[in-house]
Amino acid sequence: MLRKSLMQLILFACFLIFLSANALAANNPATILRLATTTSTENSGLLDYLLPDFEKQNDYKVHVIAVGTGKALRMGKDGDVDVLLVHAPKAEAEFVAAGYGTDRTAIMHNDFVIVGPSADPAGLSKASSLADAMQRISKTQSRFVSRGDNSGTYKKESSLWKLANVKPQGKWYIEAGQGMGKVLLMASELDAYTLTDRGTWLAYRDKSPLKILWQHDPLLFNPYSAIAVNPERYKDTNYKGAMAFIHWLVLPSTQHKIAAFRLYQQPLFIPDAVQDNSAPASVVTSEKHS
Amino acid sequence: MTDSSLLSSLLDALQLLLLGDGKLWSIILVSFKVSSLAMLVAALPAVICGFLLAYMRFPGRRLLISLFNTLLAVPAVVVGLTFYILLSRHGPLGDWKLLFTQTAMVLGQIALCFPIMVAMSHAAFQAIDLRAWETARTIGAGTVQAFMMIVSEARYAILGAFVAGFGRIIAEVGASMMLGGNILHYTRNIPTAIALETSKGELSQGIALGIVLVTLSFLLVSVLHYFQGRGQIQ
Amino acid sequence: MSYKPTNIQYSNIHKRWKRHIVLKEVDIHVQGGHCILISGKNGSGKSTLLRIMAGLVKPDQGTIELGLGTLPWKQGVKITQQQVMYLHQTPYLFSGTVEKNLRYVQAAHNNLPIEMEDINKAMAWANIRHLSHKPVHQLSGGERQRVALARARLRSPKVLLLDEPTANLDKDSRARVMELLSSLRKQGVAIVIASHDPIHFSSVIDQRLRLIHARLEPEPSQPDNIIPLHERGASHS
Repeated sequence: MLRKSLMQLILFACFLIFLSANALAANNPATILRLATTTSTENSGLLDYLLPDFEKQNDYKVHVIAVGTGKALRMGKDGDVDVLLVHAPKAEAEFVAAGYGTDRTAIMHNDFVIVGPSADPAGLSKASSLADAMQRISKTQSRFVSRGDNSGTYKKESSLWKLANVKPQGKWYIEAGQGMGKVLLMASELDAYTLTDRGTWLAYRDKSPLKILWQHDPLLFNPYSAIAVNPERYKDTNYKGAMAFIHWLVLPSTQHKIAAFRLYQQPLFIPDAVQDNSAPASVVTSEKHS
Repeated sequence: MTDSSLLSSLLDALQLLLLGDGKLWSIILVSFKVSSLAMLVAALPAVICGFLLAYMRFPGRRLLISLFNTLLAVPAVVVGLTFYILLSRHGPLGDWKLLFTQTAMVLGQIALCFPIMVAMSHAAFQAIDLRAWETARTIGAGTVQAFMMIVSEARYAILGAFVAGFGRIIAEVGASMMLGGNILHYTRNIPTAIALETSKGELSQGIALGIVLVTLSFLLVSVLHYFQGRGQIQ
Repeated sequence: MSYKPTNIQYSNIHKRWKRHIVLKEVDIHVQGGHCILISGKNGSGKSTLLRIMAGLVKPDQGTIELGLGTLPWKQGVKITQQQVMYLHQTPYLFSGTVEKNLRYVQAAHNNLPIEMEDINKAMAWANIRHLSHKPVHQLSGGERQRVALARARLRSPKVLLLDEPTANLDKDSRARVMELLSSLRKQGVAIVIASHDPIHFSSVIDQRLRLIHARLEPEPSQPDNIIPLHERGASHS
């Protein structure tokens, strides 16, 4: 008798779980579009600024999952999201080549900057090129904080060391394994150099004693592409929504909006999908710093 | 960071809370909805498990007790990772399409609060004399009734188990971040929002949410102490 | 009397704990209005026997004979469980007031109509009415025992099994408990008392048994076993 009533209780509990799961999943999955993107696009506020228009014009609710580029690509590969907006050209190309994604489309770019202590112990201001600048940091053993994760920023940094023919290792090279904001905070505390995307830097520059020591270099451009997750691998991904989103991103009106986006009164993203003369020619012209 | 910026962040935070910033309150609401739902589902089965472990003798009982005690110490990220692997569309339960939903968060949080509530209610029932069960039975109570009478005897300690379970999940980042994906207005709860806001350098938002969490923890612990105090008098 | 007298025969009860044989071929017959005393040393198995009869412990073997015939243990105990009530050596009272403890019987018996009036009667019978709103943790040992008896009366079992009911009680409380027992017996309740110290029960005992070496045997006759009827009830005044 005890067993019977317990079984009833347990069944009742299972029923509750089932009910609540159903209630939560009640949002019609067809109208949800899952976008995996990098922290930079979400943290800068760009998506908050753009997405309401898309959701209004198309009948989709966009769920933004902001992670590192590596994680975002992984989610696409596993079919956990429908569309990606990421910035790691080489990894993206491999991703598409391997058949994980389709319809890779260039959307926009922003740029990276190298920041460091205002005393500039490595003498970046005297460097002749980006490669020279990187070599100066390693030669003078000046501290450099690296993301040390699988992010687009870290991939960019690795390519710069390669360009400079330097294998970064030693006490001066600090692999943080943290997000960009944390890395900037660490670099500030340690009086170290680091590579950062401009958006995160703009958010932190008032709190940081560091300053920009290298910028506006085409080698530091950071192109963003949108990729639809391959519907042939996962039938139930929202491919239709993904394509609607990509098409919407490259619309002239959207591209205009991207160009008009400001973070701390500074433009941040330059649209790449349409040639548009009204967009600012370069990323930043004046860098305010104390 | 200087003192003045800490102070100004704090003031900003209070302003955000009092002026009813929509985004902030949606985050708080998600936290409560998800964690309350997890508690709602997990509480009764956990108490029943604790009861069975305390009062029934069956093979494997000791093993189960140590299992639950081990699960207590498992970090939230490990629970999160486990469910992530299970729920990813690549994983065995991928067809349910639950990853990055509130349901996934609820599942993760159930897994987190269940063991602690089993272990604590087990201890609560162990503190109650076996004679209580026998007495309940001899005065004519059926199994369910007798169970309810024992629960009532142990009510303060069981309440403590609930508070501890809720405390474990309301402030937990790892599993919520992995399973929910930190989607605004949907799966962004207080802890994941704090992690995000501080990583963005938006300290006021982080502090505002921190204030909510600290206030909440304080309230919970006060409630617990109040009831434990009453339990001792009884 | 208007009710059908209770008649339960427990036969051939075996029980072992691990390798230790506690009860062997035990037969015991309980009947309404009849009081049995089981004596024996501490640990001789008295409590185990009572708990088996109450259905709280499962014996390894045994049958139950009711008016209908002999039943295997599993079925028999389902019937007797409704009629038999077991009282612990120190009764367990649920936290709260005395009245709440009696109300629990009411709650447990939602198929039986127990009214507030019955609760009041039971409290008056056990002389605990003045305690009704007292929290149970403030009660003395004797008072607790009386609450347990009031609870038992409210439950109105046909068989009452008592485990050392007067241990740890002062003389006064003991006398009270004995009074209550004898009143239950007069009402036709079958009573089985287990005690290692049987001297106090002379006034109510009809039959004396002894548990020795896991077997239940009749007690060798003793002088106080043959107290004349007119002296009964006077010994504890």
